[in-house]
Amino acid sequence: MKKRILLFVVFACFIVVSCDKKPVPEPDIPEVTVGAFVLNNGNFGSNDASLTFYNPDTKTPTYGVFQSLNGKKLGDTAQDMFIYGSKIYIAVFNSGVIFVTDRSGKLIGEIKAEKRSPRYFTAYNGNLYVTYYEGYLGKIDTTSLSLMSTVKVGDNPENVEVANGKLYVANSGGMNYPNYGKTVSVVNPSTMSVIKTLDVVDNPTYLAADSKGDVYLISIGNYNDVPSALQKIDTQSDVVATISNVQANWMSMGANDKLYIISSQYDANWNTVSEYYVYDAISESVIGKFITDGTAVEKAYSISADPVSGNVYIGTSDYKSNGDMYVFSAAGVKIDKFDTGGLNPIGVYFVTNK
Amino acid sequence: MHLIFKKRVITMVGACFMLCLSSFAQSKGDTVVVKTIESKEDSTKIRTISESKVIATSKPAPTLQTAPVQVVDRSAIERMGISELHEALKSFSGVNIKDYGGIGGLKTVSVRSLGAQHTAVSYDGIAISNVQSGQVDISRFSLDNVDQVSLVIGQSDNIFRTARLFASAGALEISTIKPIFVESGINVAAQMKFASFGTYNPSLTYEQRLGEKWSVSVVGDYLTSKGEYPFKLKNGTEETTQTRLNSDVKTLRGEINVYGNFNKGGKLSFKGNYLDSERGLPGSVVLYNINANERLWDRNAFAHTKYEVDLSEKWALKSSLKYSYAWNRYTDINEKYPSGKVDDRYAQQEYYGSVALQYAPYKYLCFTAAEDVFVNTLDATIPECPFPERFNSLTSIAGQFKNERLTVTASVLGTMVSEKVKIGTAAPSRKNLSPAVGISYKLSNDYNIRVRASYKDVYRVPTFNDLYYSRVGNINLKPERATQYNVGITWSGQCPDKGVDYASISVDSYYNKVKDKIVAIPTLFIWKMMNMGQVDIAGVDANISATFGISSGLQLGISGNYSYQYAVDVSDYQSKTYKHQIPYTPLHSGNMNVSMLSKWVNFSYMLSAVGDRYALPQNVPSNRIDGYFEHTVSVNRGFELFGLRLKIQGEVINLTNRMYDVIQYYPMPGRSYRLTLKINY
Repeated sequence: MKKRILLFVVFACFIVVSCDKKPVPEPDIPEVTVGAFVLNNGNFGSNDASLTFYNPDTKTPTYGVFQSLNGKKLGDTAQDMFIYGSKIYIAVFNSGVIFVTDRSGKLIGEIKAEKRSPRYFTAYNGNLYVTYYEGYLGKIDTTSLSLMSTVKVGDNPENVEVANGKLYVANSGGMNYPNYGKTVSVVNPSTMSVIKTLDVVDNPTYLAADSKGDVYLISIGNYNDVPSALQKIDTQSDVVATISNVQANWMSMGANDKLYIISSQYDANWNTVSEYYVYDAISESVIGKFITDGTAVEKAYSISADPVSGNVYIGTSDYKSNGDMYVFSAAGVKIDKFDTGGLNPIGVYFVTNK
Repeated sequence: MHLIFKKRVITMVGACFMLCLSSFAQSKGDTVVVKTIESKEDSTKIRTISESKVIATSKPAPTLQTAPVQVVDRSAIERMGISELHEALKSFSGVNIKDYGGIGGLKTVSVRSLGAQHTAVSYDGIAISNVQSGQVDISRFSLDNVDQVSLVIGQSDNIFRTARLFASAGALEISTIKPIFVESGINVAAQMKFASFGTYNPSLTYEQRLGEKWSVSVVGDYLTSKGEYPFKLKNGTEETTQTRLNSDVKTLRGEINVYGNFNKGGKLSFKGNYLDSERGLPGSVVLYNINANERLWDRNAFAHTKYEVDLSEKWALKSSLKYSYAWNRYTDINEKYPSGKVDDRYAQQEYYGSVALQYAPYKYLCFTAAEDVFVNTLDATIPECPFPERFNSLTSIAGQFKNERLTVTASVLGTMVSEKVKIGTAAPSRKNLSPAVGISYKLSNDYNIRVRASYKDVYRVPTFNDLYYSRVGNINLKPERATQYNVGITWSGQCPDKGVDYASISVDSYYNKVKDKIVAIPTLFIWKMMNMGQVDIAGVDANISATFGISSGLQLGISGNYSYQYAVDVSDYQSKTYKHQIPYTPLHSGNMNVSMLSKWVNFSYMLSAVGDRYALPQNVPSNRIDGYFEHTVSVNRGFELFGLRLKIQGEVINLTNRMYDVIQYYPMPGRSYRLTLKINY
């Protein structure tokens, strides 16, 4: 078995190397971002999820990467993508499938579970963990690409994050309007059992972990009298605290424990007005507004921070035409803007030379 | 593909026009001769009726109207050998039918790219309403007891009608067959339809005369279909054959009509109608996932009564009352729901009354006024349903001048809507005035060529879903406004020496503008209904039809229509969809029908041609849906056996087994067959 893994890894490396046509990276070469995959969620029911590859050096996007490499479409509503080891995992929610590709996007396999709709991933100790919207957390063997076990968590789980050897699952209860979920499940990744359930603000959805063992959580609220809330879970004590000095709707943990936040509010005509903030997870304070060059970014849809280069990608969407992606430096200066080639760019996922 | 298709459609329609124009260029005359071979009588019978009589029998003569009116009557239905209402609508230009596929699939009608919510649907003169969604599913109607279907675009010249029928950009008017007693006082007809995909549809009609003044008719049918049909699914370079699942249908329809005719004392009618249906909703085809468990139940009942009377030489009155109850239940079984399923019920009620008066002081002049008052309610089991109740008052005033050469029609409609809710805040009251004017002029006494021009200002009041649907609804919505301008030229006549019994041509060009279009706009996490859209629509509709008497027992009919619709989103010039063609609107579309009627057999061929469309607002290749040609043939024959009149009809629908979508990922059936047997006593 071990031999097979080794063989496979060697083979996968060979593919990556042969595609990039670069020499095998020497250990002393610093890690740099060589590519950014933009995942377009698509329009529900249109089977138009797609993958765009963006080369940050040449600033060129390549559209429809999945379909051109594999001859078939990605499916309906791609929700999350995870680059782990030599493989990429793509959760296509409404199609109920996880596609597994190599680091170029070429299909290796797929993971399908009957009546299970994958949402979000995380990884720990060589295994991949996925939330299923039907109320489960699944554990996946990254070699055999099989679902090893599942555990029942809360209703309609969204993000899953790992910290301090524990998995945190945000139970949104998003299908139970207006009685949204109010819990985060803490799961033991090896035994796949729920250790405890934490009480949080309504509709917990996004999670992000920092390097010192804190997990940040955004609850979206109930769209009515409960507003969205940023919370912090101390994973030593599993105590939840609300961070009240910044309003947050979406976040991404970037380099040096900087948390990038989309903060949106409605005006009187239901137009969304967005601001972007940087939060320092070490000092636990808001540094300030992220964009420093005066660039206006409207219709914010997603924010993704490159943990290696420090660049920050803000995706925008009007839900009816292809999204735009704004690329900013860590200093908040616009580097580039490109059409994402699909509807609703839900996230950017980074490939490095290592 | 795109260009070739465009060329083919234009060439085809163009050729048809040139052919017909050249053969009728010399014909003239005012008398309309309508030749029909009526299967109901099962004898070849030629009726000659004058133009004025055509109007008197309320069959609109399309070429005389100030606004475009298109009609398919019973004889055309028989001639074309069609069995479904949406097939009849293919004879009309300027119409988009949204068809979600299969027997149980939702079918809605949009006129000239204005959206289905701007199309009123009336059944025997009374509007069918759906205040919840604002659009009527026409698949609920059977074509079997339909006498005539007409489509008015803009304001009808028939101004003696309910105020409600003044209130829409387009009106689809369905009239049912009234009993005609030839010898006995009882008519019985039984019919059985068999069709592909496990479809059976028996129906029974019973008509009886009750004395001198009264008659009654009862019509019922039951439709059952498995609805599982194969389709080809293209996914990148892969193509697989799959089966449409969860598309079964069971529908029971029944109707009772009582007619009273008191001559000078007026005409009274009563109608009771019931529909009970259960269907699976196959949903859109989702790649890699065949799970479909949605089901829909409908129970609709309505009763209406109409009374019309000539009060004097100059005054006439029409009045009607209606009550309708529409209940539906939607279920979906899926583990995503915390309780494992969704089970929602909705009930709409309408109480409706209308009075219309006509005053015709002089030969060419006529005035009408109508007042409609109605109340709509909605009850639902969904969370936070505010149980809205809407009070509507519609008042129309119209005048018409009409002589041999000139027709001028003008009208104004006043609307007052007020609402109350049991929970939350109701939308504010609304008042509106909307005018319409139309003119038709015959260019010379010798040639029956008329020109026409019309203008109509309409708006649609937001639906209950627009205003109150959980989270999405917005009570501050303004009405959605549409302005219609039309200019056209029409010709009708005959040329018996050239074998042309009757022919007509009309070409209309139009410009529509939709302002404050009600659209769902995404905010950060939820969608909200807003008056954000603006659409510019320019188009051309052309219709042609002709019947040729080849010999005494052989008649040939040709009809065709072509529609050009340039309908673009002009909401926001910074948007990537600015000036892009709006979804599901082909730039070019057309239909053609060739029918041959003989003593032995009647044959009909129909062609539907629809150009490329876009499934989403952005006109990029990934959103494009390919155009298609659909060919259908129908053969029927009537004969007598043991004193019974029988008719047998066979149809092959989508002859070439063309795989196509009307709505993206709602595949339409390929080739299918239908066999109808009818016995009249």
